[in-house]
Amino acid sequence: MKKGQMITFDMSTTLIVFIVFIILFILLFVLAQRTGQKHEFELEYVFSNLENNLKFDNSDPSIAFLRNYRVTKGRLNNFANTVADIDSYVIGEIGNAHGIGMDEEGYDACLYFKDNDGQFIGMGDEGLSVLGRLSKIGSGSRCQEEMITNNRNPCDRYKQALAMIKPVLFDVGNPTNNRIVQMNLVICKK
Amino acid sequence: MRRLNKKGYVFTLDLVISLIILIMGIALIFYKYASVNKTIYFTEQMSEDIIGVLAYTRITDLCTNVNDPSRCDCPNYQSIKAVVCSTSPKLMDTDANLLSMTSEMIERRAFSGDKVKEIIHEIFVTKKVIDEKRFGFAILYTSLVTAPEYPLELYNTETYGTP
Repeated sequence: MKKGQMITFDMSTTLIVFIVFIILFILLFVLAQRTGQKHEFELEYVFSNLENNLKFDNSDPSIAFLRNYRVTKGRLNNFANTVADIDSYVIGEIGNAHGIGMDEEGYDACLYFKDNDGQFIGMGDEGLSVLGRLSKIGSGSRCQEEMITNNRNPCDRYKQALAMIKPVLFDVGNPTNNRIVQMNLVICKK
Repeated sequence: MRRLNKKGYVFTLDLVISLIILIMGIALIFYKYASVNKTIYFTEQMSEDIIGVLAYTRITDLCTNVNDPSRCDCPNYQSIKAVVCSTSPKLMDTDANLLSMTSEMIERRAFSGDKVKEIIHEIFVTKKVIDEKRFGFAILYTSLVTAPEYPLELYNTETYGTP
């Protein structure tokens, strides 16, 4: 093979590899965008149906703590004492029926409330700061309060973290202590 | 020998350029996927939630003895107390939600616009419900009676506190 032919062959190979690489890159970019939109749609649905889902378990209305932007403290404590993993209430299904119909295995959810002084509001008999479990960390450990407190992503080992902030009235039963607080829901996508 | 060296030089340059392109591509893909794990905040519903919580929170949820000015108090919200417990001007409907109260303040023009701003600022910003450094918001009010075509700005995080 002559020198000119070798260089042309080499350049053609390089160009082909380059073009294939560019096409692959564009395809990956477009596919990644589409996946992101899908997640946003799913989570938008979760967030907009949150109130219905949290009060879904009609067999025990005492744990339906959220209604019309009002969180009833007594019911929230019952919920915290009764429910350890909130994924079923936020994403999955209870009693063979649910408004979302998503696979809860693909997500983990953490729920917490922040008071007017920026501190966590304790829930249940144990005074839990955060409700929910992260199945990817340890063997289903609780959502880590330290990470959330330090403004770190609690979904560190997950694919994606989606958070919602909702102002709600924290109803403790008397106007002296009632106040509007911040409700937070973080959903970790596996 | 010299000819071989020249050919080697051309191939080496070619290889280096290819490697640069390859590394750039890998770096771009890595950046794309590495940046996926970040927290995305859903703020689409926040505006609805701000109005929602005002609409579902009653004055009596936050204030005691609203019909007795001498004992009237809103322990956690001084700006609401300044309106609800005021004798002159006096709020006509104390059995209402916070949104209706705001509406009465505007329609009757008995209270200044600054009072409305203070209430919104205290509920959401001072009390750390919404971090206004991260999430700015504005609340507009459209009076269907007096000026249906001109929305009134009740609150805006960007202009609050500026004269």
